[in-house]
Amino acid sequence: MSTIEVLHGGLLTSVQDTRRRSRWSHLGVSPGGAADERAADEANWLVSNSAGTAVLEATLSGPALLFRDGGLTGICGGDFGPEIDGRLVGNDVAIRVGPGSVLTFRGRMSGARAYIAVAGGLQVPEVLGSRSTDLRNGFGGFFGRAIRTGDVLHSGPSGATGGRMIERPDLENRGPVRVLPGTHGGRAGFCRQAWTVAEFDRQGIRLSGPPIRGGRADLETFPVLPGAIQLPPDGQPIVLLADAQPTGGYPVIGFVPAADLCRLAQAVKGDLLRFEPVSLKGLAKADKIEAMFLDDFAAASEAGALW
Amino acid sequence: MVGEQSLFITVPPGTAAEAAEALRRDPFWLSVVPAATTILAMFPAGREEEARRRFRRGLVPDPINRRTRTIEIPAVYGGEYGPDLPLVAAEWGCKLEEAVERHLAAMHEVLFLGFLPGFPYLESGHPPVPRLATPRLRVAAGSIGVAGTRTGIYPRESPGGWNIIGRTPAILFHPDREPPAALAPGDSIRFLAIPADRWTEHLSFPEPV
Repeated sequence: MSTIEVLHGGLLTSVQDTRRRSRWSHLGVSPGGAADERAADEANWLVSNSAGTAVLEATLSGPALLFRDGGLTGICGGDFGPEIDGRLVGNDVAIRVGPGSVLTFRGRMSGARAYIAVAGGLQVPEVLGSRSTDLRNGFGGFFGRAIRTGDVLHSGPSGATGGRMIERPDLENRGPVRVLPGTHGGRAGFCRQAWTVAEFDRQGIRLSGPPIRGGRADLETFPVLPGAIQLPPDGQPIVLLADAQPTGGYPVIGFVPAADLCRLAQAVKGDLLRFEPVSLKGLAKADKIEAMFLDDFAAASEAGALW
Repeated sequence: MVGEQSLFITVPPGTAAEAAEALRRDPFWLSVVPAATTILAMFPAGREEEARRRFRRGLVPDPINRRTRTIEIPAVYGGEYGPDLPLVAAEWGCKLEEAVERHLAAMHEVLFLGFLPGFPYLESGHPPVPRLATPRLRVAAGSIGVAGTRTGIYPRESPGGWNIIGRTPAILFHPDREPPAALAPGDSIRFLAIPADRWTEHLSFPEPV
């Protein structure tokens, strides 16, 4: 059990986990949770937390945290230049922090969201099966809001000894974002042009580019999921993220599969995105190959081959 | 249609809530969300074949086990609580009191929830009313609005484009309660007119009658 003081909250930092509130979607509750669930899972792995443990999701800038009793922390996802007591430590590595040490962030270098895991997880009450913060509706996580100066967080007990790190392949030449068929037509036209990220929040990413036809606002409301690509009348598509409402009235012209949605959750204003249509079969094949890679990775890391 | 982790179908009007409830009894599904004529069911990754089988079997309605609840919602109509009541009455070609009587006399069915946690879309069967040309930036918590042939209730303060005819003190959503919403798809709703000075007596979850 240790205590973490928030010296500065950063732009928008909140407690999130990957246990979605999907069970309550039929009551109007957003699934919620970490927008880049892969990065959240990886950060938890660094500090030997089980998957689904509560972490901090920092947006565009990082918080300043004082570890009163020390501990073990790790950051994955967006690179905001993490430092311990002013010394740059970097993402993707478990960092042992001494009592009284301070974690700060130099500034954003890549990505939109950094996930800060602490060994033992963040101890906040579980609400509707998750420790995630529903910021729009003000419940869950740390009192239903972003963390700010003066807040005190607690982490649970942990036997983690540290030593883990993640090696990443070169990400520079990532391909287009894959798009599965939607409930309405329009996927082909959407994929034919590149799109710029106009703005984003935890509900979705608004894309800008030459408007495409087919957008409407008068459809009978129907259920939607994070990953859905909506087309409003202005022809500027919206990709839904974790805090999206579970129903909507715009046509859904495609779905971004979960793995690609994690990438999109790291997009910032001005990023240029390309999309390509994919079938479920094509996705399954690609995921099989990736899964094999991940199994090898997991086996290798367990065997100590990565550090 | 089948997605990466979801099945989506269109169903005849009036059947979605019941079919979704039947399906939801199978703990296999991560979520089953109905809307007016559609259902989206989420399943665990990689179990698509099993999902298709369970979906076909599970959509059979189970009238014996089906429980329909009737819930009374207390409401204060008109005045500051229902600023659009005159507009709606004009649309319906009747006096204010008659518009209220019509809303009270109806049996409203919860088609589905969405937009906000606990926000119900009720089928009310009244003559259609267009949405507000300019939505309000702020609608008070508990506001009862009509649009089309439907009624909606805002569980909390929110922007809103529906015509506000009244307000309820009843609590429709609280995250610490399981289930967190007072209403669910398939419920039957009756509104009960209360005077404004009895507001505080009804600050609770409405119970089924």
